[in-house]
Amino acid sequence: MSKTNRTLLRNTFRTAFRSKERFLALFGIIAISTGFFAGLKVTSDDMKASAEQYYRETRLMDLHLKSNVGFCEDDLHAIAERPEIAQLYGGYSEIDCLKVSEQTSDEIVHIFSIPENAAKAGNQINLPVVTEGRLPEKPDECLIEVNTPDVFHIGDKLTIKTVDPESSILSETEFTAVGKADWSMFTDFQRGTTTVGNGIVDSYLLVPASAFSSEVYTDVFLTLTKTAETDSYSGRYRKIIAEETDSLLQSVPALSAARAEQIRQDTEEELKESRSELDSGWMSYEKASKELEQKLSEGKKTAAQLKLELDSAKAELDKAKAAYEEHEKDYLEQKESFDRQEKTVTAKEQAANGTIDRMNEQIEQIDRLSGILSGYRHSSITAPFTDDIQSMIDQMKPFDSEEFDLTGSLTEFFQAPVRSDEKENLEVVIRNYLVKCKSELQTQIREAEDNLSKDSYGRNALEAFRHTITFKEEILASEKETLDAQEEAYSAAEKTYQDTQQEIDTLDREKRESLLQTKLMLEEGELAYTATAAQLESVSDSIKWYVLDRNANPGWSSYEQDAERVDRIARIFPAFFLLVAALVCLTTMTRMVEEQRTEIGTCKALGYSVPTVSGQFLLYAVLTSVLGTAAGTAVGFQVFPRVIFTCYKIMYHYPEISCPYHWGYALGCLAAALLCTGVSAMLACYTTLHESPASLMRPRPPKKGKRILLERWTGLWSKFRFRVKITLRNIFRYRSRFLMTVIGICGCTALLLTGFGLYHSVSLIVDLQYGEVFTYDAFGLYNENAEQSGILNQTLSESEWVTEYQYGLTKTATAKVGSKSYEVTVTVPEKPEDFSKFINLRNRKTHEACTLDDNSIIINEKLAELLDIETGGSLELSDASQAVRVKAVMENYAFNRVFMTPALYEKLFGEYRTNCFYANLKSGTDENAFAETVLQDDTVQRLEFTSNSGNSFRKLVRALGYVVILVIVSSGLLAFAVLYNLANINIIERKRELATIKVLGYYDREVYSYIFRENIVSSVCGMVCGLIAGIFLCRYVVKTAEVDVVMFAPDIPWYCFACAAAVTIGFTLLINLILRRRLRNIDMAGSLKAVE
Amino acid sequence: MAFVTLTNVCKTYRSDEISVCAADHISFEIEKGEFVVIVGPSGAGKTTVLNLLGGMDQCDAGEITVDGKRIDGFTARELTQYRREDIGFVFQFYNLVQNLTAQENIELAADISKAAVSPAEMLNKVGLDDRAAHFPSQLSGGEQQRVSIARALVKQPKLLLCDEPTGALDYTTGKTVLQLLQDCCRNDGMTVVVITHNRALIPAADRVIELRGGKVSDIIMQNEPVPVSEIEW
Repeated sequence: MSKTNRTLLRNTFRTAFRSKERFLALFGIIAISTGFFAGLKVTSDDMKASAEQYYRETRLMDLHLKSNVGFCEDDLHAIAERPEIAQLYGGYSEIDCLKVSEQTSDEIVHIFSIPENAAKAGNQINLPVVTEGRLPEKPDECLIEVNTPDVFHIGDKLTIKTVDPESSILSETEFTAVGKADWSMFTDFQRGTTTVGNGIVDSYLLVPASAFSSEVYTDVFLTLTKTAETDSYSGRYRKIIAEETDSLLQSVPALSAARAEQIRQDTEEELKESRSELDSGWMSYEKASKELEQKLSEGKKTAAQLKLELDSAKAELDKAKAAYEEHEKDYLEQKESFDRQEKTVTAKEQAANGTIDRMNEQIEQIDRLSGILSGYRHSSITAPFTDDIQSMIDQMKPFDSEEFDLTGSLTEFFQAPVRSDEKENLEVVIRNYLVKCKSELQTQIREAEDNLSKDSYGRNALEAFRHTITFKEEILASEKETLDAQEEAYSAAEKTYQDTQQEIDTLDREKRESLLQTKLMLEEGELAYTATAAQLESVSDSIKWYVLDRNANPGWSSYEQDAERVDRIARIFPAFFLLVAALVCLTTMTRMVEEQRTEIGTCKALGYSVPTVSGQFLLYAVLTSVLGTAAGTAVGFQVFPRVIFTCYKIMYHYPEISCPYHWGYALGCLAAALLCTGVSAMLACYTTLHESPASLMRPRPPKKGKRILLERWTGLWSKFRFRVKITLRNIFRYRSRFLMTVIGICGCTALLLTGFGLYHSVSLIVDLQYGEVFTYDAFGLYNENAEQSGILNQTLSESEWVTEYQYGLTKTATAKVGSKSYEVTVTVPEKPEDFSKFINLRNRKTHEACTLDDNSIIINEKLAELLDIETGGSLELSDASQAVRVKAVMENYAFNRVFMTPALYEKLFGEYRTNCFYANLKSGTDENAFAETVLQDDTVQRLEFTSNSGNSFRKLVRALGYVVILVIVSSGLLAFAVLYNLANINIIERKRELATIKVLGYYDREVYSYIFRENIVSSVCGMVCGLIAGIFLCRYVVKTAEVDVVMFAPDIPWYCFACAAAVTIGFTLLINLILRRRLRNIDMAGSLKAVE
Repeated sequence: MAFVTLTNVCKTYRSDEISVCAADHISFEIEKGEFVVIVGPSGAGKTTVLNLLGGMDQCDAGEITVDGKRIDGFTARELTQYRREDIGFVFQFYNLVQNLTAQENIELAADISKAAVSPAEMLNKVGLDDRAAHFPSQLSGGEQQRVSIARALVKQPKLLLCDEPTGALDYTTGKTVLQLLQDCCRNDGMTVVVITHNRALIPAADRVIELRGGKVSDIIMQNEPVPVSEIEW
């Protein structure tokens, strides 16, 4: 470098230092814009690279093989022999339930085996990074994941409840957690799905391979040689993986030959075994059936004999019975005739005896009468005629006869007062008569008694007859006894026979049945045997391999999407910054060249060439660019990736991000900065440098004043105050500066609004989702197939905590429109009419409630947007019988949801069975106590409280707070750099004017407002533009930042506008405050100097 | 007491190592209504005197009195007020605001002054009423300087300070401007102080103060000043 150039160089540096403000402004704008641009731009790359680093360090598999038959050792060798395979690990995995404690629901865990000596072995795959504790050493030790919900801790004993003990390959069921680990197989918080429990895997456990006992590996993990140096998020990587996947799938038969052979052998052995089993089965079947036949025929023979005996016994018995009956009949006939005879005889005898008795009585009466008569005779006095006498007379009536009227005589005797002699005569007559009567009677009695004693009535014959009858009766009784005995013997024999017969029948029936079953089983066995034998031919065809790559790991791919989302945002933010930076550079450099005008002229006059002179400006440009870019990138490369990564760490689990210095981007930024400063320097120099030195030495003619358009409207213009006029004129005079200020402030405000809007959008959804849309307090999921213990139902219906509850069905499905499909949660409330107490189905804008009907569904807004359908459109749900119409679109922020009625569900999917419940709890309910009660019901698989559900979102909001601060600080710096620089230039350019004003006696305050009025007007213009532009920017950023399952609140509330405006105004005022000092320091003596 | 008095005024400019004594015990007086020319070669302290008198700078020592007011002890604000109300300033390079029309440039001063006369009247007075709506770039140098004078006079100052008012003008225009200044003094009784290095203007003054090396080297009183039209340079 020549000496003169060195002088010029010195001049350049002096120039830089003389105007510190300019240098700092230029440096600042370059630093901020390159920092922002480069920082945001590399964030995506840094995120990916850090993830890549993590994958590499933990040797994350490239491919994951699964097979329907597992893999044998030889399969592994066959795969390992492929040249593309770098490393390989055969392991085991199983999904099971984990009961942590009585108070908590079951956790579903995916148990993976890890290499035993993972720490030591150099070439292993899927290494866990132990963050706490140590690696498992014994089969009953395990690692738990870092993100494990707070339910397991190191040192806990974890008891596994195998889902299907038959097929489980775990040899241990109790593990001690010895450490916590990060595992690159799972980088986000999704753990995959399963058919167990509610279908969502909660966590994973890493155990030594020895905890499994299986002959075959269930999983094979591979890394490829070609991918060793390839970034896994690159297209090349995808291509390699796709090729290898195809090639692996094509060579499955060859690779699985060993396993096929093993299966074939196993099958053959199995066949052999089953053959012999079958054969022995058949043999024992034959034997059993023969035995049965024999037994049966023997039994039948016995029965026949018994029958024969029984029959003859029966005949005898019948005969005896007949004889007896005849005897009996005979007896009965005789007995009848005897009875008849006896009756006749007895009647006769009785009659005879009666006659005798009567006659004896009459004799007695006669005797008594005779007594009375004799007594009567001796008394002279006529005795009274008593009734006694009358009756006695009456009794004498039978003795009245033709020859003697006894009764009349007696009456006369007793009544007529006759003389005693007369009486005596009469007495004699009567007495004689009476004696005669008496003797007659005695004669008659004697005759009758004679008749009786002479058996004149057949009594003797009768007695003989009686004797015969009694004898016959005795015979008959003995006969009856014999017959009864005979009958008893017969019925005993009959019973024996029947028993025998029954025995035979039972034997026949039962044995035959079991034999039949045995036969059926054997036949089935035969069929199975044939089928297996047939399979033997196609063993290798039946082996299916599934080749999964990293894409199957949800965290792996969504992390990439998120990184790309950052990149997308990075594309529009910094572009804006660069535009502003370029404008600022242009103004600054132009101004600088202007200021140096005389110097340039002098240099040219002194004989320096144009390139040399312009070179110093370029040098200045290079200097500021290099320094600015260096500072900007140094900060930007660190701050932006770190802050953004910190936000994403809420959703992912990656180790720290590494932020290397990206030379490429730095150089690119430098080039851009150089282009901005250099080109503007050149442009500014171009016109200036081509003027002659002489004209350069002369002061530049001042920029002409101009009337502005508004002045044409004299009516209005004349009404303006003088200061307003000046301000307006000045604004229009320095149009480019005004525009730049407007653009700068506009950008700043737009960014601020975006920042506040984004923060608001995200922070609001927690309250909206869990405060207004999901109004239930608790949600539980239970196994609809398990037998209900009733605890749940009882708790819900009886607990004092529960104010309302409802059962429902929830399941996961895929909603599809055209080629777009998204996973949705289908919710089917049992009583849709009451469901609004739990989930508020409403329109976001109008807050109008949507009601379910039996023909259509309600979907959430985000889903409608993703599927691009509106009310009235229709979508297909997986497993549904038909497409279904969308009735309404509801407000919802987290996850995609479909609501329908049970009737519609039955139409689409079949049987409706509830598997979940929603409950509202009384305020102040102890949720833990409630959970404990509900979880006593073993069917309850999951219990969530709305109060907890928002927590993950709250974390997101907190992280977004940092991003907002980042945006605010960046926008503030931008605004500051732009406003300060432009205002500074404004002041420098108008120094003379300001000095004049000061000389004219303007107070400081008036001088400030003379300048700041312009600043404020341009700031306000910029702010208004920014608020409008910010709406679009915010909307774009919000949309870009959203993930598929989340909708941010899309409206920007007034206070975001207010905040953005307030911050912008704050910045403007702050800058004005700082510039005051500069204005105060303007030397009035400057007004005296010549125009530069 | 004279209208303006400077008594032993000293002013030293210091920058890093170099200190320049620009005013070294300067003392002089100016009576009301006088047309004063302060003359001296470059570096004699003319501008310093102008700055001190114009309230743009403070002196280190000595006393400055204008119309009975001690301005040497004024605060910045009092100085501003002093400039605003008592001083009219005419610059060598006119210092018109390019973005304002002739009349508006006058309004710029009138706007802040309580005693201001109508700008249009002032413009009429300097003979530029037909140029009121023109921007400075549309005016000739002389016209610009006349606008500048009108701007200085519009607030009816006690003292009109002119810094090389003819320095940037050609002979004839310079003369017209100078005539205008003298007319102001003669017709309106304005106290006019013209600072120049041009000794040819001396004859037109009532009082000539000659500076040399920061000191007053001579003060000449002229009882019969020559009208500007008769001066030649």
